[in-house]
Amino acid sequence: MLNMARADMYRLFHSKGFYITQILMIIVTTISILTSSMGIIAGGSDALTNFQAANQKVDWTGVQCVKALSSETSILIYFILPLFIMTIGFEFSRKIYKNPLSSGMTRLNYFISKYVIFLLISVCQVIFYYLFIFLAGGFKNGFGKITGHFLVKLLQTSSIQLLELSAIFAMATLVMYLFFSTITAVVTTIIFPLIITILVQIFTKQHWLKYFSFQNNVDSAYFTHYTSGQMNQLLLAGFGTILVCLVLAFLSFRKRNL
Amino acid sequence: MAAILQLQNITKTFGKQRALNHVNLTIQPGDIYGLIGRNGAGKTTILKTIVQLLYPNEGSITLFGATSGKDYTKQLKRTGSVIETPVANNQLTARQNLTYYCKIKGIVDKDAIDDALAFVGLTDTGKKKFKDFSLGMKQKLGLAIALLNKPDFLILDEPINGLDPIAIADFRHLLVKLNQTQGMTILISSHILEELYQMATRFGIIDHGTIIKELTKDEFDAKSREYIKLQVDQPKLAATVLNKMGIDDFKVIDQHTLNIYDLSLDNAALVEMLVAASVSVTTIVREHINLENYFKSIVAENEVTPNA
Repeated sequence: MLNMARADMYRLFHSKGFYITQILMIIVTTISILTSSMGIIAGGSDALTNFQAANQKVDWTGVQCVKALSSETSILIYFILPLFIMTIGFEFSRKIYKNPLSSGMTRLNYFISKYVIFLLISVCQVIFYYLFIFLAGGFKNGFGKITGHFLVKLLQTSSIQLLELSAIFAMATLVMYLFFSTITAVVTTIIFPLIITILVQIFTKQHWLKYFSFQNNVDSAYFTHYTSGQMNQLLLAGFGTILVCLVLAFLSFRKRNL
Repeated sequence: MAAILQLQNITKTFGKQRALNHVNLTIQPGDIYGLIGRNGAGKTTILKTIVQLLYPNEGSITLFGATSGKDYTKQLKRTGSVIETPVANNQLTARQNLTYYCKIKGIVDKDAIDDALAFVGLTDTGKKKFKDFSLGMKQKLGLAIALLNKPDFLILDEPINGLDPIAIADFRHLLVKLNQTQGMTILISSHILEELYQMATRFGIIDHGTIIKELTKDEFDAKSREYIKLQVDQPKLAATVLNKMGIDDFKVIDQHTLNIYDLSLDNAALVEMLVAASVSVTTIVREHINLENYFKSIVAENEVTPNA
């Protein structure tokens, strides 16, 4: 697995697509910081709109930038997606999997290696996102006061966001392994969260649906106070989705004719 | 000496279609085994089954003594293969692709990449990316990737398809060199039979998912001796004439053709005798069976008696 990780990182750092993705992310977040404005990818909740409105009334220091732009972290879906394609997607669309699988790597090892590497890349992307926001905001208006509460809240927020983003990409992984199609996986990644968001707004009495609204949960992670019961349900929905998708993906891949 | 690879009763189906039907095949150390068959005969299916890209429905495969499970997968590390079209990372150069696969395979030998590039003749490709490679270059890089870990057993699927004549000759020299200098055992599928004849030491003919004939190059050469092809209107009568002349080393091929293997025969005398016996001669010519003709005759024979 370590060998595969080293190889994939090498491939990523030698791909133009990686640098283009990072530059685009820097441009988008820089524009947000310079204009002190936040966007919402899908139809956001009232709480999200209120949170963003409140943040526009204060100066954006480094700390404040992190707080404010945590509400548009779902934009990372679009900046992790190219990395997903480069790490897992091309393996299938270009049949590159043939080389390692035909030379002594088990399918389980291959599957786990690919997913763990992608997860690692996702973690790095979330860290890079917040680090850049903090530094860019800090250089513009000062870094602000970093309290222990802020650090704990940031850790909690980014963990939830990573879980929800991973759930979205676990579905993309399942689609990828089922259909071996990058396009289908990309469309699923973009469309599924939007569909859930719309369903949540239509079926307002179905409270369980909001735990599967991963995109909204990413954006509202910082300011939403979860009771322990709600947190359990959130974690259950996130981890459950990841587990089910990955198990199904592997089962379809395990004995598949390649 | 233990066989490198042994397939026993391998059957593979795709839905209702039977792609491989009780295939038995053995490859000995040092062989260059040429797998011959038409498109769709099952060549690629056999190769994919060996490298576990496909799993058989029945039968067993033994590779370096390992038959199944983790042991088999472990032994696959001793192989190198290029199945169907060679694949690599489009956005990387030849050297970068080899670096990528060195990392995957855990190869730390600093010379491995230079050696592989030099061996296949891709040292001068510079910054050209895989996506811009010609088919010949892709085949060479595929071979270089397969050779990175210095395998004991190389498996190649139609490696000379689409190559120009010079590239084909280069490729042939590379494979023979690997076999002769490094003792590498090679399994190669192809339907370009003249090329295969020049490099292989053993042949397996596959048709409709079944190995219908296996023979060594020496056995084939013995069969491919020269003969006189005689085409007449009455082959039975011609056979009687031949017997009268004391010639019995011949074979009736079809309703008009006899192959005579006794080359001491005086053609003029034979024609005279046949005409005297009211047999009309349309052709009398010396011929030689090449691998292609042999393959065609074996396949045709199998079509007539598929279960023979």
